[in-house]
Amino acid sequence: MTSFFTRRLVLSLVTAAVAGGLVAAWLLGRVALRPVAMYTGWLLLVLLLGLTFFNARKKLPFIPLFSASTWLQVHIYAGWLACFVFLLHTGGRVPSGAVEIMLAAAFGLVAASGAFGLWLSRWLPPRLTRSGESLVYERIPMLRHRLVTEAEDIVRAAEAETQSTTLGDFHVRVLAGYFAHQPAWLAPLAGGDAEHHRVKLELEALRRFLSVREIQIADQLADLVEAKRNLDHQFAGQRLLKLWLFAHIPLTFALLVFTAAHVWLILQYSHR
Amino acid sequence: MLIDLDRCTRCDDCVRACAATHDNNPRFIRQGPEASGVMVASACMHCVDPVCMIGCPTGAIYRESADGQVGINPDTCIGCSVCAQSCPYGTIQMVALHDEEGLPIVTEETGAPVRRATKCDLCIDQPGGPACVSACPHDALLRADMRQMDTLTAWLHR
Repeated sequence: MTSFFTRRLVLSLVTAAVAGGLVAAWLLGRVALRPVAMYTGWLLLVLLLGLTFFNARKKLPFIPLFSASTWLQVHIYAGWLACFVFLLHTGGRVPSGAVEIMLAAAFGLVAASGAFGLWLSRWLPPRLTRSGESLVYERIPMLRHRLVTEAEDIVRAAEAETQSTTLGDFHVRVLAGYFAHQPAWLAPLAGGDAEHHRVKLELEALRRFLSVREIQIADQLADLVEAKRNLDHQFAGQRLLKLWLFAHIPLTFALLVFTAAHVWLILQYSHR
Repeated sequence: MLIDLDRCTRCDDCVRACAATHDNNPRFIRQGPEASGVMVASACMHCVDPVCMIGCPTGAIYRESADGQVGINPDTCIGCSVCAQSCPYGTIQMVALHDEEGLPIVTEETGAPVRRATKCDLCIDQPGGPACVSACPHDALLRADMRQMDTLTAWLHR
């Protein structure tokens, strides 16, 4: 079984070798006064279309056309190569016209969102694993609702049993909002558990005012607070792992539209 | 079925691939016991001595002679759910059958939906092997014999 390091090394070397070959061909073509921008443009178009097919492959899992893992590796390294070919194609020139700016911006955004997604899909999963039990994303709202109900039931039962409103007041003031609260969109990137730690500290501070029975109940609430922490981590992390694709894929289609317009314009004027 | 949680992005492409391969009925869920960053997902274990196969009244559950996978013949399954109740891992699901228009097929006598037992068959009829493994873009999934320690160790230390 090939290790990830070996695979990364081999594919990086292959990509670098292909890029080196392209630079050599580009330099020779310039010396020979060949239309290198046209050549690199067609190559870039082929690479873009090839990269787009990865999404199509994911929609057809029953076709034995290499594994999705192989496709992803090709997608990643062909993506890096496309960035390099883009630089060759533009010659490092800053775009000036309106169509050029839109095209370059779309390409930059697609490349940046892809690189961000790659980093995220390697960085976030181990953090989700260490956070606690793995949860199915679609079940998390139901689990959150269950936590809210469970906390309310515990507090109501405690009030009835102990004839004290200390835990009930704390629930209204702190816990109800905490359990109903949804994590921010970019919470996994910001890191930290400030809200969770604040609630735990307040619950800890409350213990000195509680009877022995109420402390036992506060421990149950502390378990729920801990469960909510994992729930928030899993929810925010999985949401971000899904959301970046909502930027990458629509931007890719925008890039394809701009590219089609660019190719059409080039072909129109190049034949005059 | 083992899932490397440090690689898994929770995209559920594996479950979707399973559903696409099996009439929109996924035959496992991405949940199960976890230890050291590895999840043993809730999918058929293809037991050496399957309780489901022994208890099936119509013999619809069979073992492939070549590789030993345990499968269910949908033509002879009567939907009695004895297998689902006896599976020690709870990996057999009873699913309602639908016609070509997506409407549930019901019995004429009672109007109750016709159900069949389904479970992971390791994609016996798929040329590319288990669809879930092929569909995982992050190499996070492994179908392996738990007794083959060399395979497991090599996979865990990639």
